[in-house]
Amino acid sequence: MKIKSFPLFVLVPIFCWYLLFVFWPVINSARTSFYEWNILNPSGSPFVGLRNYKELFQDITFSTSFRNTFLYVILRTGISVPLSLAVALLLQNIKKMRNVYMGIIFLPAICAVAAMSVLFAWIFQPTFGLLNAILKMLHLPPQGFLSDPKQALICIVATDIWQGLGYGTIIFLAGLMEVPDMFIEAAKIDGATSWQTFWKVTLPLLNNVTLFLLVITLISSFQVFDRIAVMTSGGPGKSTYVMAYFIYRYGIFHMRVGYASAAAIIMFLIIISFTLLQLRIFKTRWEY
Amino acid sequence: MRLKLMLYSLILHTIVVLLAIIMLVPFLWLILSSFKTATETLQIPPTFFPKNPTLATYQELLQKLNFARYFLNSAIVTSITTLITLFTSSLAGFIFSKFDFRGKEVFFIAIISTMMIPFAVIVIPLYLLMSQIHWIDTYAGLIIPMSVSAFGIFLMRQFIEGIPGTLLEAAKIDGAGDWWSYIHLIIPLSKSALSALGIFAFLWAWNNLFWPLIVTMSPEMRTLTLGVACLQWELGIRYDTIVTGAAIATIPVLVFYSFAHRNFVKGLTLTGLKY
Repeated sequence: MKIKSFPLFVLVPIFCWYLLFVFWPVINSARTSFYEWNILNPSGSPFVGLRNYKELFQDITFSTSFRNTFLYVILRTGISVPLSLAVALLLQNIKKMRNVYMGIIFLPAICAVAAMSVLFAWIFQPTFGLLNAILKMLHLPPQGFLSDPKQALICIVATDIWQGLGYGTIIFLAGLMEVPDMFIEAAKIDGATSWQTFWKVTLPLLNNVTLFLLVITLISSFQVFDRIAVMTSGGPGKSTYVMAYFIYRYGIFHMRVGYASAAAIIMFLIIISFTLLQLRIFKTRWEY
Repeated sequence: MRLKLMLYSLILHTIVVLLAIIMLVPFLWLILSSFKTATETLQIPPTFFPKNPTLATYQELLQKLNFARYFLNSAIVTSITTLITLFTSSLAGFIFSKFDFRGKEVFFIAIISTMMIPFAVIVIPLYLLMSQIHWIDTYAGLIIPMSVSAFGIFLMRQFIEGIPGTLLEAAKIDGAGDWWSYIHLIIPLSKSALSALGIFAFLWAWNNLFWPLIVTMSPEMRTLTLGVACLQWELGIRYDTIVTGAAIATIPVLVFYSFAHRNFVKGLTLTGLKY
């Protein structure tokens, strides 16, 4: 009897926490997305069916957010993952002071996104910023960076790549340590060039690590919020709106709760289908 | 052949040094600029080293701009959140790995599946809930909704599964209760996993911007990270203040990192941690 009561005693409060702070909000988001939220009288909010969703698909700000989110995810994942691998391979070939270099490269990863973002907002500032001063020194034309709608999102992605590099590198470096030397030696004896060894031996053996990192990077960049909020607040204009920022802006700031909830549900469905897809890929490649 | 090898090694070292510089320069810029005067931060072209180093901006932030209070808030919120996360994760991990009961798998999968729910999806209902139960602008509001981690539970379960069950059985035969086993066996034996999780729970809480932004209204309840973001939103081009605020928020993390550096890398590789 005692054995049974202990798990219950612990799990019930934890499960209640999940009900209250995770499951109920998800259900509530789904429900609210079919209502036109009334601030003054929430319980009297009229049911509007799919109107919020219809409106979203015609909303230019939402389609911008949608597009930007995907662009952000593709750029961030597409550059970060190969770059981390390259740096890990580089560090693997460096014997002296490897831990010091690793420590330095990992340093930005532990700092607050908000703190690094205000720092880079200044570095990217067109008039007073460090970067344009450097460009000037090199006799290159100054850039608008965050004040240029075409460049702003790319600048934000760049800071994300800078900050996330150390994390990916550590993961790959740990993966590389696990690759048995035996396989590399065998390839060498068979006369493979180091290029061939990399593509045909090392990379396939790293498959699980690469996939893990892809998933993590994809999911985290899909949710990007802090950087956008701090560096541009979605501007200039609405050129750097992403989905998380859209939800915050409309749901919390403008109190269009039903409308923002519909956007949240769309985001939720996209992430779920992403994750399920990746789980399938994981499953098929799991056995090595 | 030897020459070629040396050249190769030289190129590798040059690249890695360049990389280290790219990673470090923004930090140097941050720390050095925090000692500049307001006029110097607006100079064209910008200076790298401060001409007249001053602590005036630190003083202004800590005394006039509430940063001492933000610091205190961050310290309170971060330490309590981390402790609760460690407690709930290890306890739930213990139960999921060492006990059998009906519905265990369903429970576990339900908890783990929450890892893929983006925070933005639940943020609006959470905000409305907080205002209904009057938790806006309270420490409880800042701490409680952030203090159970599905990832932590998952990690601790994986780790505690590796602790031999015979140890627990022996304790039970000697008359030890479940709480006794938890405190005297599970916690000491899972120290390495707990310290890894502790490091990351600390960072998640310290660096979090989204939740404090939602759950606080009055400036007195801001955390340091939120305080820095607010400088950016409220002050425009006072780069001296903004950058010094960022320095105040970053320095504790750097100090923490320099002490826990080894555990960091170990923790990451131990867990394949999500961060």
